[in-house]
Amino acid sequence: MRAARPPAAIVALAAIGVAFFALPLIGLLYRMSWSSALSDLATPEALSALRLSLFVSFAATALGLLLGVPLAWVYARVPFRGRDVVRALTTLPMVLPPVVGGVALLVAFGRRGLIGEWLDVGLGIRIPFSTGAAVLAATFVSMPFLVLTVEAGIRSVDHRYEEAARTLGAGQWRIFRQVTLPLVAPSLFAGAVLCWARALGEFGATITFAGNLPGVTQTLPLAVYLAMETRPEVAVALSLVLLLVSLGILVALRDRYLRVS
Amino acid sequence: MLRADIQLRLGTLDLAVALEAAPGEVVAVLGPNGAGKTTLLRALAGLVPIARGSVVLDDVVLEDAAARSYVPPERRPIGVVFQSYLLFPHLSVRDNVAFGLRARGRGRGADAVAERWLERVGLAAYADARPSALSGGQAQRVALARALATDPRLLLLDEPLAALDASTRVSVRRDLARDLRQFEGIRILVTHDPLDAIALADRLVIIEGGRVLQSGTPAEVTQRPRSRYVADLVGVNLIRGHALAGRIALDGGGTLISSDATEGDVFAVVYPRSVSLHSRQPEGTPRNVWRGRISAIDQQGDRVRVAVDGEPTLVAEVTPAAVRELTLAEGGEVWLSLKATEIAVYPA
Repeated sequence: MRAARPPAAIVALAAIGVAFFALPLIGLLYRMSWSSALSDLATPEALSALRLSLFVSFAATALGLLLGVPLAWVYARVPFRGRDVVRALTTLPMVLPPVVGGVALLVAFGRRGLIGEWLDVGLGIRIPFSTGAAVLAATFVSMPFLVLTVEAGIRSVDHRYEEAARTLGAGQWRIFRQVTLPLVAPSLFAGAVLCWARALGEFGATITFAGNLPGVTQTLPLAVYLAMETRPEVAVALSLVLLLVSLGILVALRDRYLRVS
Repeated sequence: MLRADIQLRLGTLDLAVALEAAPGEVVAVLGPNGAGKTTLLRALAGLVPIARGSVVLDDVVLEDAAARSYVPPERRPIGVVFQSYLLFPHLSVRDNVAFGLRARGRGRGADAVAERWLERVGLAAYADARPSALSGGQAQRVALARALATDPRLLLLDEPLAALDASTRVSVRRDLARDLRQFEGIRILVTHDPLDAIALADRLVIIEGGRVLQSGTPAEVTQRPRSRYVADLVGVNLIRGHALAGRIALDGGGTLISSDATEGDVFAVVYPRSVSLHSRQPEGTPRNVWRGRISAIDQQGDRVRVAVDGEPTLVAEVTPAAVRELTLAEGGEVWLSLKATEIAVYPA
């Protein structure tokens, strides 16, 4: 059977939708000064921003895995009162303007903050405006992606595998490590990549909570923003790097792991 | 020795089953879907808590609802073969079999033990394979090896043959019977297939609606069914009534004359082949003769089963030729006769 011809109106609107996303990319490619691209990207500021971005995004992903996987397991396997409210709370950063997240982080971990003051006075730890703060800001906005993906993965694992493991003598911790985690490996991977990509692009919460200190908290997005004022061609080159990295990841993962179910 | 008294409610199921099994015994729990068979196994394994009763294995109390004692599944000496086998897809066949050994702190030499078990079930060559590379019958044997590798005292099998297609079932059933004989502990399997139950078990326990209807050797159960379910499985007519001086007053109406001397509340079994059908009232002596209306005609190979509503309602088995000669048709009237000597009677 031949597929029916799709209605022209729908196709036209869909094409406009594609153009809306494609045009900015084409604009970047058009404005890119290819001859000076290498030297633009090889400046110490750009390289240091790139290095910092990689460190911060991977650190945020690691922190997200450490805290997010257990959280996802609890959401998927442990029914408790108020679970929906708690889950909504930990999903909030996905919809919150990142700059609001940054303000909230400052209020909590800042020098006069809820915990920050205690950390500062008691332990001499000052988080704001450090690389650690950039990592926290990135984790704050990116971890929900990981938690949601992994939770969905754990929910789709046949619970009876875990029961079979129990009858073989495995305790909960062994089951989690040797049965549940391997079975959710695809979701784990997808969640980690989504989390990393979001952390790589983080701007608002970082600049609010961590500031814009070159080499310390100035990640790629911040460097792009700053370069727009002074050297737009560097901003364009950095933007393109960010864009291509993200696009490459999404294409590589497209069907295998990022299926919308 | 297993002594279990399992009482619990789960959804619409109200389960109350007492079960005993001697060492070395193979018990088949047979019943229709929804009878509570799988829940019974899960309760024995500790995967479902019991509301009342107890589970005692080799004088060790695994669960006692009254005393609030409960040994979790991971600490019960019980192996389980699940209906869909549930081999871990991310582990090799060897690691699947060794999983229980490692989990129970016997990781040293676990690979060697696992390989010995794979040899015993004839799958040593598949040690490095993934479960997805196995056929249904092979997966079942790996699941069996995995359950037995930890030396359980009790082996539970949930519908061990249900996941297989008809063509491999016969050979897998034979292999399973052989593999089960190698294990010396108690074996309990649940199934809805009487052939599996009879082929594999020393003793049958028939459950329906969460209750034990009957228990005994396969011969006892099939010769003296005590439930409609078993009678249907065996293909006989089962009628309840009250016997007095050779006359059985049937619960569903009507009377049968029997040459059996048993008195009181009884079951009467009538083989469909013993029932004769006639288009006119038959003449003759000490026979049971009554009229009925045909409700269904069902051809099975070279025999035809004719269900007749009457007092009593039962199924007669005749030849296709007889169906033509008597011009039997659904909804038509027919006379039935049955010799008094052809009725097996035993106390209810």
